[in-house]
Amino acid sequence: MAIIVAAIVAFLSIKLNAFRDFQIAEIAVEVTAVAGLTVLTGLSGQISLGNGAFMAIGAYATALLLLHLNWPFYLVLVFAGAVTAVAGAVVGIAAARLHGPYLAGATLLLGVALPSLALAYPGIFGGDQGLNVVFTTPAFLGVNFPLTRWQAWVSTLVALIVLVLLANLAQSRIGRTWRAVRDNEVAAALDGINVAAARVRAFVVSAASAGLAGALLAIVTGLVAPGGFTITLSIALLTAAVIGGLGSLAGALWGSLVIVLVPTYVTDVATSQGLSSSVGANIPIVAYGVVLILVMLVFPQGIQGGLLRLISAFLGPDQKSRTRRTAPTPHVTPSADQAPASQHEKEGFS
Amino acid sequence: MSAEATAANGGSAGLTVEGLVAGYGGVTALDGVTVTAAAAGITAVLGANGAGKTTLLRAVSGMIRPRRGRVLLADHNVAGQSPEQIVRAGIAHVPEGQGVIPELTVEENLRIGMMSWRGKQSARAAAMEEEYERFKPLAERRRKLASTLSGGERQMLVIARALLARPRVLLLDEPSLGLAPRVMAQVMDLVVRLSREYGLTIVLVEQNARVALAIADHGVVLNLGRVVASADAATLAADVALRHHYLGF
Amino acid sequence: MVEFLQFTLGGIVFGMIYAAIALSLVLIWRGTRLLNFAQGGMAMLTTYIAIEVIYKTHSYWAGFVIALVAGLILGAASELTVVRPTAGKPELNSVIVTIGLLILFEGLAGIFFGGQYRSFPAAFSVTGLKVGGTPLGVSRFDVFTVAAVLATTLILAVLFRYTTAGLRMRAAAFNATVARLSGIRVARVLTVGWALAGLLGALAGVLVTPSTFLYPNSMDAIFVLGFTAAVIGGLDSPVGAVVGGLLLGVGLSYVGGYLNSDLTSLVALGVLVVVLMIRPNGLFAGARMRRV
Repeated sequence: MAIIVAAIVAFLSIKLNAFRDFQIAEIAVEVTAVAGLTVLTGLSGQISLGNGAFMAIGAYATALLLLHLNWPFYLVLVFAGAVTAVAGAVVGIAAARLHGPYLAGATLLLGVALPSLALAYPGIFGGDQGLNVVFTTPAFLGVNFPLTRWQAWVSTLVALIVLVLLANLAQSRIGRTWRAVRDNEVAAALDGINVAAARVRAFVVSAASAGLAGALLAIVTGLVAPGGFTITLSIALLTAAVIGGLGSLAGALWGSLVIVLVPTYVTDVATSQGLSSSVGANIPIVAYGVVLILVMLVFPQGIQGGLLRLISAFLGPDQKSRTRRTAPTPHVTPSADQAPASQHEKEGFS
Repeated sequence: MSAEATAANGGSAGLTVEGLVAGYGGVTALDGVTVTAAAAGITAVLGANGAGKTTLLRAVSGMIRPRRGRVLLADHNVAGQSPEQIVRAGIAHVPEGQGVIPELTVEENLRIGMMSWRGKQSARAAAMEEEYERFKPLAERRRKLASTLSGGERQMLVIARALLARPRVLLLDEPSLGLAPRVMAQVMDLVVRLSREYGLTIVLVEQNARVALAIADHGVVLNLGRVVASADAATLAADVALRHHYLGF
Repeated sequence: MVEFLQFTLGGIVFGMIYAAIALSLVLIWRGTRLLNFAQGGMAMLTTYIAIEVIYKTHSYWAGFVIALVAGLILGAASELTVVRPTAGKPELNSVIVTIGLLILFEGLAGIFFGGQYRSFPAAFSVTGLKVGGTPLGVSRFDVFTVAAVLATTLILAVLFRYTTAGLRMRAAAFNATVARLSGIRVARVLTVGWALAGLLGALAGVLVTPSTFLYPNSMDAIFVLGFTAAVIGGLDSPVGAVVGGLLLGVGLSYVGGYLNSDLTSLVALGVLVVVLMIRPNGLFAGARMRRV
């Protein structure tokens, strides 16, 4: 599956121009981060409004390593992911007892506060201006290979690797544990699951994905500055995860496509209509907001959920009835030798 | 609640449920149920857990929307309306186990019962005093939080609140649940008085079939969402085979 | 010593702004169990409306009142059109919908009012007050700010506790099922809750914007801090919202004053983490269990 996608992307990037390559790279970056978030929120049930902070950690780690130590990129990538994973563990432990809006508030503030570290210590982190990142095509590709295409390929490769790894995790015992914790923490604990460990593990995985995405972002945009990691980024990641279909890796792709392509497309339309600058600059914003609202109202299960419904409707009623039958409620019929029903018995709906 | 109040409401009204189909998600809990509760009488709805008794009450009061069938309050079909509308039409539902809002005071809980009124302030105060008369323990605790009430007192509170809605039909879901036998007897006495003296039509869901049949006029037995028996209470109580099979005694 | 006093007083002023936003979030959370991410955006929009009214009529108070009314309308309209359809659907859907609203509002503001920074007038003088010869670091307008938020909070508290309408709202918030079975039109109550939240947000907007300038994103940072205050205090507690706001306002004032203003959000994060580690549901989390 992944190989097919890789081939498609390689083909596209050769055919399309440099800007499209850049967009492919952007989408790959977002998919990497959103996939981690959709696992965290969709599978383990923990909302995070601060994964942009993890991206920032990965990006800054990458920039610093390339700048000061000049490591080869694949090594930098692994290290950036590792550093962010550790950060994810720290956050996960701090957040282990938090739920719902309290978790949302804590991660929101994380997303706001962490990038401001760069401003507080400009000596190391380059302050407002940020750090520049130099990334070149490797020698074996020859002199004429466009940088943007290489960036697109590298990003897509990393994204696909991350997706495959996450897919395996989701199917594994770890993934089942996450779902159990998400659905009913108390029941999971009674089943012997270490709830806190599962939750922290989810944060680690999600942070590592975001860290890798941040590393990719660093090499694709060439600049790592606080302005690139505002709270808007974190919110965009969550938006992509929910719009695409929470918990679904395919949904991570759909959502990333939305948050990268819709604003660009609408801006193109606006400028081609020749609208005056203040109106023109804001129409894409309005349109983007409207898209978010409409998708959520029309596809409550996200795009992936909507697609599945359309497909099952297409395949006909047999398919539908097979998927719709849920586990029947146990009906308890008293038999002659059963003890008389105690007046203190309290059951579910009778 | 008083006989005058009932008369002012239009007199006693019977409740008829016709071919009601209702459920939750993919599960059908009621599969074509027809029950007639005679005006000013007590109708017991019996059966094992999971038979559909609570679902029936919820479908009547609008908590869940029936998929098919009619709910007739003296010839007026209310199926499909919202709970707020159905309460105004005259059907009050006292759900199982919940009903008291513990974060509010006793008096506030009672005032909620009158939310569907259009009456004047003075009339409301008088009505509330009437309930305090009927349930002395509530009067003693009127300004205390409802969370401080005992189980029996809470049951009184929810019934008082339901009565304040001036219903013509009262749906009671397991009112004896968790109550000491003496308190349960008091509650059952009250239920009888409500129907005999004030003309309320009572539909009583009870796990404890013996107690329910002792005070009911008519009984209906549900199993797996269907009516398997419908007769007057004495007949049902005498049918030993039926009792053993469906009612556990 | 004078500095300490100035930082404290200044912190109280901003703290009340955060408290107002926090209160609006608590109101919506208690009533509908939703987080309204568009709260800051609504406040920004109502402030723009206020400035237009002020320009046209040359009356500050006309703008002030119209902003509050616009807040009521905007809150109610948001709930009716966009939020209600998400009831019963996955929880995060409503979060995304309010985020969509936020983005929509910011875009609309840009279109109708332009993106440049605009200054917003204050109701009273902004020159610092002095006691004896000592500058207090706060102005008459600041005193008005604190008084206005306090007064609104008290009025709402009275409304909730002693009126029938307030009882309806509390009943609907504590147990919507019982409320509906008693004939309370819970849907209507929810709309009123959102309207009141819109009013609080609008109030915060006109009170804080003289210090920050008005532009489409001007309420974003205030929203984040207001949200933090609500979380610190406990989302179910209006008292918590005010206490959380004050704590945050004063605390951040000290950090900004004595340390580095770039560290304020980090310190806020630290405070939040410490509070939540001790009380995962906020300082004033009741023993209230969610009824299943």
